Amino acid sequence: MKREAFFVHRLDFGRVDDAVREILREVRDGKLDAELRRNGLKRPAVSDLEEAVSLEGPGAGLSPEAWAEIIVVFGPVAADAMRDLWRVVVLPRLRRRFGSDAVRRDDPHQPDA
Amino acid sequence: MPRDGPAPRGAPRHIELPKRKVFALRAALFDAIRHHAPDRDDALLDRLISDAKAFAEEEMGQPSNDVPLEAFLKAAVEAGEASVRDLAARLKRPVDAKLAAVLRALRRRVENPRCLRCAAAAGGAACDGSDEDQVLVAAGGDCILEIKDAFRQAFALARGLYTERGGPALAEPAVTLSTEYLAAPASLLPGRPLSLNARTSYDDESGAAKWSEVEVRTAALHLAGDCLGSLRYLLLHELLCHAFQMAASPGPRRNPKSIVDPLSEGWMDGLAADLIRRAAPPNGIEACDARKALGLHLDRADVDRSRPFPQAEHVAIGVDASALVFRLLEEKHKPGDPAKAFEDFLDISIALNADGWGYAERSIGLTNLVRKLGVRPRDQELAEAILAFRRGSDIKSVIEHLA
Repeated sequence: MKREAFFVHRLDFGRVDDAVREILREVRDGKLDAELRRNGLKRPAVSDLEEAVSLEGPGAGLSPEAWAEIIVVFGPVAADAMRDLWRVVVLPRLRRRFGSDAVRRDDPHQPDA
Repeated sequence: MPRDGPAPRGAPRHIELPKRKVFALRAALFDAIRHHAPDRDDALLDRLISDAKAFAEEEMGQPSNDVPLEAFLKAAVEAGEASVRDLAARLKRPVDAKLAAVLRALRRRVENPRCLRCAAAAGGAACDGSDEDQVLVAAGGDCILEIKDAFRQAFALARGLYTERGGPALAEPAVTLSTEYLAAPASLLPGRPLSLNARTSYDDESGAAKWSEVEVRTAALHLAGDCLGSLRYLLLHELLCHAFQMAASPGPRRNPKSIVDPLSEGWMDGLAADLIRRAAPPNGIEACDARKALGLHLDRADVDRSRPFPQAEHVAIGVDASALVFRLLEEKHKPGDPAKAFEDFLDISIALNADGWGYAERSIGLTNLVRKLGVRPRDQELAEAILAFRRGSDIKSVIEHLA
């Protein structure tokens, strides 16, 4: 299965997961078709969009960190289309909702980030 | 740069060679200070520390990996010693016995290069910064020996406890160690910028087979003695609290809602600190490390701080629950066999954490346990179920009273 990482700053995993579910429901209901078209994409031909993408939290450990890594797992059906949808629609919307300084794709823990 | 995706799971991944050099240098330096001059705070020692930091920072900025790790360490130690002796001469101060012992320990470290031993064991050349290094570090990895040793010890202890006491359904997980470099300490433990942190994740998708990955995350450039002293506790937390957690579960151990589990984070974390305390002699560096472990555990559970640890509320529930159960077991063994009470406590702790009850159930269950045993009169049925539990019997007889 295809996987992709992104990082959130001091955000509860449940809030991020809920926001992703909400955006996917909007996609499913056709509310974001115009945005998809503008970016040269079609609504993915997936019967259950919410099943096609799942998030995994950063794992358990001694201490959570300010920036938490979240893994997006794309299901086997239409994984490429779902990844495009993720990068073009979902991630930018998360950045708008939580702030562009609170959601990023590059690892803030690395020195060249 | 954005990554295309996380590294594939299954194989350990380790920090790159320049960062391992930084870790090896700072670990050697602070290990020497911890052992030989733990209470020293003066200009000469400061000079040694700041020179080592400058050396490490310079290495991080190098575009190539053409200096082997051991040559880097040797150059750093020689430069540091020369700088200290130069400052001592200018200040007209002697290098006292403690500082001399630190310098001797550092020299011994570079006179006994680990790279050659590691490469010889693997039947090849030492690391050169290529992808092949990953195999060498996974098999040997003496450059991160402090982490590897703490992992091996914690794994052996946790594995022994879980195989003896985890019950017949326990499916022993494959546990791998990975390392990750952090640019700066990143933990959210208030007042404690941990330069060594860790996390455990699971990949149990294939049937009942279980895989736990323990990832030690080090801000190596900021590594200091305090965090080296907490390494054993850090790894025991990951192994005892998480790597074998729910290993008797027939299904995957995913935590899709990232629920904080008071059993592993509070109860078992307290047990980890206690096991370290019980194994430590009354004085010396290990006793000091045991006090650090206890301090970290208590900080994680402290809900009364102005800025508590983000998971403190959940950790505290686990700590309270474990204290109530331990008290019950102590009463059982009156007029006084604390060793038996602790043995019973170990049995029930391991069985509870090995069982496959879910994250939400654990959270509710331990909250209920505190509510039922933390009052007078306490819930007699629950108390009797706990007292009747024996190693090897079904822990569900206790869990069913916690719903």
